[in-house]
Amino acid sequence: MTEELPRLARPDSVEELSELVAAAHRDLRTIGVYGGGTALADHPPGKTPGLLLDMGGLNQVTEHSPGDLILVAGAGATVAELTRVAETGDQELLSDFPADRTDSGSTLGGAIATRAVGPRRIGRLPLREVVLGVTVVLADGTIAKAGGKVVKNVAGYDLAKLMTGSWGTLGIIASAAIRLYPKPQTQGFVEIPGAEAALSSIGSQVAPAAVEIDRSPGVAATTVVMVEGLPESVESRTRQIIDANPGAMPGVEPSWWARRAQAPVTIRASVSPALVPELVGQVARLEDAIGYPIQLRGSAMGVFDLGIGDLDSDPTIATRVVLEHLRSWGQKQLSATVLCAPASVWGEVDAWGEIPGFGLMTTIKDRFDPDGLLSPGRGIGGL
Amino acid sequence: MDKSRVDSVLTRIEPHLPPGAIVTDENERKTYECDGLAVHRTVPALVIRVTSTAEVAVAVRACHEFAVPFVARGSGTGLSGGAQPHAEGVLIVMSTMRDILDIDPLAQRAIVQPGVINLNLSNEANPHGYYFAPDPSSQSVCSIGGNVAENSGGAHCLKYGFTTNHVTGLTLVTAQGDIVEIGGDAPEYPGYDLLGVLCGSEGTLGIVTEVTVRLTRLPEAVETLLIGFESTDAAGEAVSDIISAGIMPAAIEMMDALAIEAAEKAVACNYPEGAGAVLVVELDGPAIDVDLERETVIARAKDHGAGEVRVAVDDVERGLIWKGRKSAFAAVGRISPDYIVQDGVIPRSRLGPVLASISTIAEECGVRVANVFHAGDGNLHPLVLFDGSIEGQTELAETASGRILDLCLSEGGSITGEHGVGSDKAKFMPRMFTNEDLDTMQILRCAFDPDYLSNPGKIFPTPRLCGEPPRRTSGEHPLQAAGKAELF
Repeated sequence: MTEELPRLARPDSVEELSELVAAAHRDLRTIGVYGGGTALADHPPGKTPGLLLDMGGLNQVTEHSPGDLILVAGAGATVAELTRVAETGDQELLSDFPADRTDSGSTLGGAIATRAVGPRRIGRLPLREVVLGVTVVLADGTIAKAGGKVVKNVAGYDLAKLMTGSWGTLGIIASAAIRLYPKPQTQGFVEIPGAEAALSSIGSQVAPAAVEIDRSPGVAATTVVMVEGLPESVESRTRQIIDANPGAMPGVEPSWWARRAQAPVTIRASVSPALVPELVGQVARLEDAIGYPIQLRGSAMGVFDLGIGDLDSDPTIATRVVLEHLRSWGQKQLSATVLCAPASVWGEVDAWGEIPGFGLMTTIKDRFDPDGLLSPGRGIGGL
Repeated sequence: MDKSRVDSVLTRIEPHLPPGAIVTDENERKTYECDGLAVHRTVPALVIRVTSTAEVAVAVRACHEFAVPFVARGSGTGLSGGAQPHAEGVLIVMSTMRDILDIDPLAQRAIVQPGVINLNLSNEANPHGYYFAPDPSSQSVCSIGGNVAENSGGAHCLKYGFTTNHVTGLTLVTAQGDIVEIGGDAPEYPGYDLLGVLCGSEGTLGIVTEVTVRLTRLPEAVETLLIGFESTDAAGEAVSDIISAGIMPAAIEMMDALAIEAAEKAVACNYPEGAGAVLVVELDGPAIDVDLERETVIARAKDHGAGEVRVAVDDVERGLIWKGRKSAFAAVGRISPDYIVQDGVIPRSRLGPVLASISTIAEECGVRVANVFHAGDGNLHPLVLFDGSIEGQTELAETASGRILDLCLSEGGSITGEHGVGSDKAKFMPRMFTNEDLDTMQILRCAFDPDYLSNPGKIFPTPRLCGEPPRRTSGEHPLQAAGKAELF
């Protein structure tokens, strides 16, 4: 049996995927999953798997019903292609996906497994609520579905949410039903110097779709507020934002919008929205104190990527200092984990910190994948 | 009944709980025999009214030690029997944990105990310009802990999402009695989405004793419209057109003629006379958007022969429009001695054919069906009316009700959109899910509650034994680990 199972396979159906996984399970081979390959540099690299599954063959759109706001597609379908399909009904995929990953061929399954997010976090449902149902293949090859394909459903446990952000460590997503959203007619951008306006913007009546903060090393931060909707409304609300914020200027979509800053190490920091100005200030002070460049970019709702270092020096110590400093705020207010780093850094820093509920997560992993075959080492905390 | 085990629990917890917290008197226990679904009744062996996380942990630990099942109960307004007690178990009443611990408008967060009434939180947050978005029709009496257990929706969840979208942190007492903190004030925490699986788990994965919720900004403008149509078909087509015009209303609710008649009798809501259906459409957001959208909604409604269009000019009028809708379930009691509420979901675009099939089912079974539903998301609430005192009527109503759920499933829908499975719809789960699907859900349950003590008998028709917790191996073949073979 072992010699019949290839090292690399590209299944064309859920059944074929299931057979491959069942065979790997019999042989106790580890399994890696390849979608668009756009998150391979994120999370620890993991060991070379005994079977690598290329999901590109599972890329069909099986259902698209604009009237019901739903789209069902194979995990290997690209986000770019699904966006195009949704646009045929004047709709869009409800969640924002990172533009850099979408441009590089990010797939639906990969985006769900890695919980990929973009700037539009305000007044929009997050990715986990947009995934209405999934079909997964479990570690032993069992095909199971959870959720459904209607926008409202509370029957049984919401395993679709469990799979969202699981980094392929609990099951392999074969297909997903996602909710669509009407495509706004226009968008407007306002640029505001500093980060102070961010907090008042997310709570303001102009109902922004996104409030992003960008701060390059050694430079003051900029806040960009985005509103979307009918042209008259966008124009009026853009004006309101400009009137309310000294120094605010109408702008266009910044080149960095929905794109991660390139740095040797990226730390994902999530904070209570009330602490966002404090975080931005702290990053500037930390940069001065340790003499190391830190790039900050993310949503005023409290999710940031911190890019640590430049190409000329080893980022290990700076990464450790930033992580320790941020974590001293306490996990109720903040979580900070390493998202992307060179292989050498992973072993040298406490990449995950204390994760609330980690004991339960370990038990879940052990129940779903007792042999530890699925994407070993790719999940958070080594799960 | 194995009374000795419950007695052991009682002996173990008595020293740790204040006087009055433990209810042993049979008559008093009987007052907890059912939740909002009164057809399923069981008197619990023991009732405990708790006031803190520590007390819940003490109680659950004792239950775990003596293998006694336990059920958490909030306000008891659930419509699927989710809080139906266990005859040989302990009912843990959470409604005595009802403090709002903190409201932080700047962070858009509040921390509440699970017994806090849904509407009370919004009332407390309103002066700061915020509210708690999930708004089930029972919001003036249901608890936030219950909302978490059921992942409650409400009329506004199409736009704002279910309870799960509004919870960022929880304190959980596990089925073993351990206290675990999950999430917090920050919007994202690393790892598996434990909040996502706990919301809507109907009390089967442990007991939530504290909830950190997201507060939502009160919109600048709210506009509520009541629109009369000749038929549900016409109203349904108008809904389709409104949604394809790119409008995402905060709510679109529909009621048919029978439901209108009931509401009128109960609360005199003054809905358009003779209408075959009404739509309640609520728009919210920036004032300019609401203005533009209102005109589009009215135009699309007129395209489908809308009769009277009433726009609420103030909160009093808005309240009256909503009163008719929100009291519809209770109102049906005015026109029928008994009724069953169903909660099936269909793809919204199939509304017309499905309503036609429902009336065929009603005719064939000889019962009347009133329809009240969330038209924006296809969540039906057919009310099957019957008179239980007439022999055979109850069975006919149950048959009609089951056939309606089968109809929803045949359209690719769900057996429940927001009321939960509970004890009521567990038997329908195998019609929606395969054995493999259900077994997969059991894997999750086994991770949280391997001894099957937390609200047993709910959601799943035939629970499986969990077996020993697996021991994780390295994932390497023994030969490979020993360096004797390389995998290819």
